[in-house]
Amino acid sequence: MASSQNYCFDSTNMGEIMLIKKFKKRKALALLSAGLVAFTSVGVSNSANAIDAVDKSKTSLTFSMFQDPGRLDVVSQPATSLIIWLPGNVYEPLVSFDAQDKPSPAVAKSWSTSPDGKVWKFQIDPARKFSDGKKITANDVVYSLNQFQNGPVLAYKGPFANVSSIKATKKDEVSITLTAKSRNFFRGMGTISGLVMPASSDGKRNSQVVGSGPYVISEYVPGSHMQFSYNKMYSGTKPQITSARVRFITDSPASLLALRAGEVDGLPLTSSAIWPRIISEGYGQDFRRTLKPAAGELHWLMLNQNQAPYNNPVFRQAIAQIVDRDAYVTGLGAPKGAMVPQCGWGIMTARTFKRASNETCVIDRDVKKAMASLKAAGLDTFPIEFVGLTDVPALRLAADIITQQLRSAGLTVNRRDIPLAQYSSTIFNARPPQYGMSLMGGSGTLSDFVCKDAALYGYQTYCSAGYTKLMQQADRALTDADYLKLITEANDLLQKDAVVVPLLARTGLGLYTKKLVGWKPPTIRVEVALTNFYWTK
Amino acid sequence: MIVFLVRRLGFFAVSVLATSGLIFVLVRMIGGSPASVLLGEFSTPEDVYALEEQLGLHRPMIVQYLSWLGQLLRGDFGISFYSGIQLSTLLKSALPVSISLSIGALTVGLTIGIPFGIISALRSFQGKGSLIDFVSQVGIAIPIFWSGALLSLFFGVSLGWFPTGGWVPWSDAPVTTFRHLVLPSVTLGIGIGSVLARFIRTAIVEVMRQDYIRTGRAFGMSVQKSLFVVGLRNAALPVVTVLGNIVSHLVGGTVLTETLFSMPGLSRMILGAVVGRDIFVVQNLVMILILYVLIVNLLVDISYYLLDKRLRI
Repeated sequence: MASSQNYCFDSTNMGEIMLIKKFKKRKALALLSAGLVAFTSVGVSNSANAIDAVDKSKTSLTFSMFQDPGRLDVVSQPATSLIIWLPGNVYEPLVSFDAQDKPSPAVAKSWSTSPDGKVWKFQIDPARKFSDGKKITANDVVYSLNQFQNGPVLAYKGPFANVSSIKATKKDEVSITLTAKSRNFFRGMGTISGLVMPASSDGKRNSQVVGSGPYVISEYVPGSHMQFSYNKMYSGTKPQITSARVRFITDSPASLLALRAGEVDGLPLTSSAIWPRIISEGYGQDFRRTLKPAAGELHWLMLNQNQAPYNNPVFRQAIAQIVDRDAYVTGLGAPKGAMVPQCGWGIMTARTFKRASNETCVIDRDVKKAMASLKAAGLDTFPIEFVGLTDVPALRLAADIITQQLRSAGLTVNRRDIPLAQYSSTIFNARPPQYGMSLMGGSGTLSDFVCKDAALYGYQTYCSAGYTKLMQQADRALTDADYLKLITEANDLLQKDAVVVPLLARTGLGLYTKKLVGWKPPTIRVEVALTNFYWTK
Repeated sequence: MIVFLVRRLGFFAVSVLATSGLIFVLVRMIGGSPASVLLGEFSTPEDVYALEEQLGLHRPMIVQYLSWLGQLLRGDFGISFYSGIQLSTLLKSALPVSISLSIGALTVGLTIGIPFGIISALRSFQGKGSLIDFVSQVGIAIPIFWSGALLSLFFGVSLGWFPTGGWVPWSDAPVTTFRHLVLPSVTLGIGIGSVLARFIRTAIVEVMRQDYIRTGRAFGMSVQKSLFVVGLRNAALPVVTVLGNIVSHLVGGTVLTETLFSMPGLSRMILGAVVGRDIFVVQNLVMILILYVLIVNLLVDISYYLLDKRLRI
């Protein structure tokens, strides 16, 4: 628990305490009028001080997740609901990294690199087996890495940017050759890109998941749940929790009700749309609340780099100068520390992350200056086309706030809200983006904007040769200081270009029933490690 | 009767063919190749071509259409490209959920609607009738997501009588399944019952003003007898029409209810297929829904025939 203390949210904020007290007083019976139903606003009265003794009789738990992955192939499906559950629980990476970025053995028991850093050799741990009972071989590792290297998810290809060959040199040894020394490669072997799966799983992974982690998915019912059971072939220590069910509750308020009713034991990741409720209804008091920086995401404005006047740097920089990040974060009503203003690109665990304010951004907030520059360019009366989403509650309020800020500055904003499916089908199908400005949310890394081919720049529309060059140089940097300097430069360039205008960084917020403890910060991107959990008496 | 049935079944077959053709054409009018939609952003022309070949999209349109119809007739709904699972397998788990919910909601709706509609009509100018009338208007106006949340909060969280959501197959634990079904059925059924009560009330009030009822009453028939022997049968016609519409639209209503109560039913499956751009699944599911609506309409027409003797002339 010691390490989790850094991230566990402490309800000492006075405003929150006042709200909680108010809530307790209001705990009353309300009438459902005219022959309908009466209801009460209840607070689950869990013991405030859980006795920290392990209850060994309880070996199962139920969690709720707001998204159903639809299919289980982690190679082709980058859904949060897969990347939060499968890595670490079902699949293991080649190498494991702790919170301090220190590598330790996982599927590979050891590794070595050539003096020039271009050849890496990984020795496979002979004790590791897949859940189907077969030993992990070098061919399985080669197969797995090839899958991610050539797969459809751009973010998973990142670590392989400089990889020229992946070969099985012995039955238990894999040799990987790079064209240039790459910092991202080795680190990437501890992320989703380094997960190992059997070569025999080809074409079957959508419904059958075979890995070497502590659990297997014993049942997946689309729209209902995923059932995790202990993997009897697992080479590590048997965990306390041997059975876990993840229920897909897509309606976020319904997941809070399920938690209150005791039907689920935790919500490891909640939608920010219900964060104001979590505060106002006292969930932080009644349940154990956790903040997960690594499970966080950004909010940003996206401007169309291919459409006038959004392609005009003067226009874009003026927009970046008008937005009030501090007010934006306050307006979203999140628990203290869960959202912070952000000018650069990177979630809270990213090395480039800096808590920002209106004054500390590369383009600082100055509405008068922004409007003057727009007027000088004849763009102050241009009607901005803003496209929002009808069915993503977390971004709807955010869009309300940001469009109001732009209007208050004196700009004309024509807002149109469309369903996410329509938005995605328009921007993702290799068509040029058709919207002037939109607000997006999602996890992202600086490498998302590395643009080798303008035809493949994807939905972000950002393709900058200068930025790409800096990021490539950073990957080949010889020292850590050089690396940090180069990615900071790249981040600043991204801010000045203002095609994507970061607004805030948020953490992942989880809620757990008080007797269920053991949550730790994730080690593989947004993993929820089921092995860490245990029940107390 | 046989002529009526043959004529109606013929119309049914023509409707099925016409709508299937329309769906087939509409899916292909989306723009671009369905294969490129399925493969997504970074697909190469070679990948798209290979998938088109695999999906049989290079065959003449009429061959593709007939092949699809043939598959449907054989009960072969194909594979969900998104999940890699046979659509028939997905239907096997989703259909029982939606059918149970629909039957549950209809049962609640009829249980509320029929007695309250009759009482409201018989006491139309009295306090009890007005109260029922008011309550049914409130029932129509209440959004499903609100009533569902309130019911969950009270019966699920406060009292702990019923689960706030989820689903257990009937084969696993029927009692648990029933408990899972109660709150969603009541949520959906309140609206149905309210609409029905309003229509039944109007229909009965209208029928009770007819000359034949007045004549019957003049010859000594009691109010109850005139209502139950003559009135209800005649009032049933417009009610059956409304009931047919309600049943046809139930699937639309279940989208919200299934989402609110996390039920893995057909509506959420369709929603998932639309969001996942699984267009062939959407095509087949829409066809199934249209078949369902056409069958309901056919049954409504047959019940008209049975209820209204004038149609038999």
